[in-house]
Amino acid sequence: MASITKTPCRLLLDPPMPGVWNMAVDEWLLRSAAEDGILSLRFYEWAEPTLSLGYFQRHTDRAQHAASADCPLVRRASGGGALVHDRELTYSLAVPAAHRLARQAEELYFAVHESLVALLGRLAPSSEGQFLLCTSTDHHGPNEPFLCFERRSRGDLLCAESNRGAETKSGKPHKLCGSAQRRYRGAVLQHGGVLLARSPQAPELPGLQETSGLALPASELREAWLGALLQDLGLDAAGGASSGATAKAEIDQLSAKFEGKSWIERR
Amino acid sequence: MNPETLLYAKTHEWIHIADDGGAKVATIGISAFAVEALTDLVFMELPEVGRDVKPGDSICEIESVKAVSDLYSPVEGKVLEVNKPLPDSLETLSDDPFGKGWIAKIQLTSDAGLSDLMDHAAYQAACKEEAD
Repeated sequence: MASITKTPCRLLLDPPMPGVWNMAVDEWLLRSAAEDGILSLRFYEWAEPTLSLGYFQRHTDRAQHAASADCPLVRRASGGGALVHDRELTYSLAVPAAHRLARQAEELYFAVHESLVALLGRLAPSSEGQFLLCTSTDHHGPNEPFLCFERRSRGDLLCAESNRGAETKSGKPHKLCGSAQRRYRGAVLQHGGVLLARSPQAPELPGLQETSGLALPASELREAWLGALLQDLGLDAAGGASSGATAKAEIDQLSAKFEGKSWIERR
Repeated sequence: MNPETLLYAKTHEWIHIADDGGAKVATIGISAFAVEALTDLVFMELPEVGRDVKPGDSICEIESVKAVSDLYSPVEGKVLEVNKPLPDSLETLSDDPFGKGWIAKIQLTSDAGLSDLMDHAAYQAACKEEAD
């Protein structure tokens, strides 16, 4: 039988860190994908509940969301709406331009989310929520909801028809994972959060626990998803896991950008 | 503009160079292939008029539903003019990417970058390879 060639992948499993550091590590991964051709997969968490703005959102718009007013603020290099990073597992994937997954925005988006849908379907009690991918994109123009998880676009991971009363006021299923991308010289960074449980800093958003009855700590979801995601994307992390901290000097330099007022308040 | 008469960068910008009173001026946009790959466009920031640019410099950014992407200058020069109505009518980039969807005009200050550009046939081949 012919063996399938897998793409070598740098794997980073990071402990909870401040938002600025987390954004700087993702930027470093994107640059190393663009400049050195290295594909990376990273899982991480946040040292404290943090609000991240999409690249083009106005920083003054955070006033729309009172529940997260006390959270530190970062601005992502990727687009989309704001996220409250609290009870979540966050992932990032940096793909070099030459890899097929870097070519079409939707292909990478769907590949990651399909992997997660399949995993959650195996893990969740069968009587609870049903996991699916959103099939259409809502177009709100300038009236786009502030929070990413209140927006809907093709490929978002949703949980529907739970018997725990998880329907939203609009009757739509809940979004449990949304991702955003940044492209740089042909390479692409995709990062996203899996909402594990409702956060006091975003009480309007039920998580995996409330919608499906699946109470998973981030570490358990990471452990379960890691092998499946590597398999589903055809990646080989034979080098084992490392941490973003191993490139501390470069990431410190990038952190200066993400913590600067000119970046955070660029719009 | 006729796409078959334009030049193209590997990063999917198209370029039309014209003589304007003895000065060479490049009109720049993004190709239909790139617009389609970006999916639904939601926001863009135009280049800064008066800015000096070199080949490969990021001159503006475009957000689609899924991604933020840079537009790179294929040439060296100074940004003379931008298509101001474009951010408020992003559908123009999909409807007429080689015409009303132009993004910026750059007055060339050297020939840097020009030799790296592709003609239409070469660009079509590059797109096919990328799509396969």
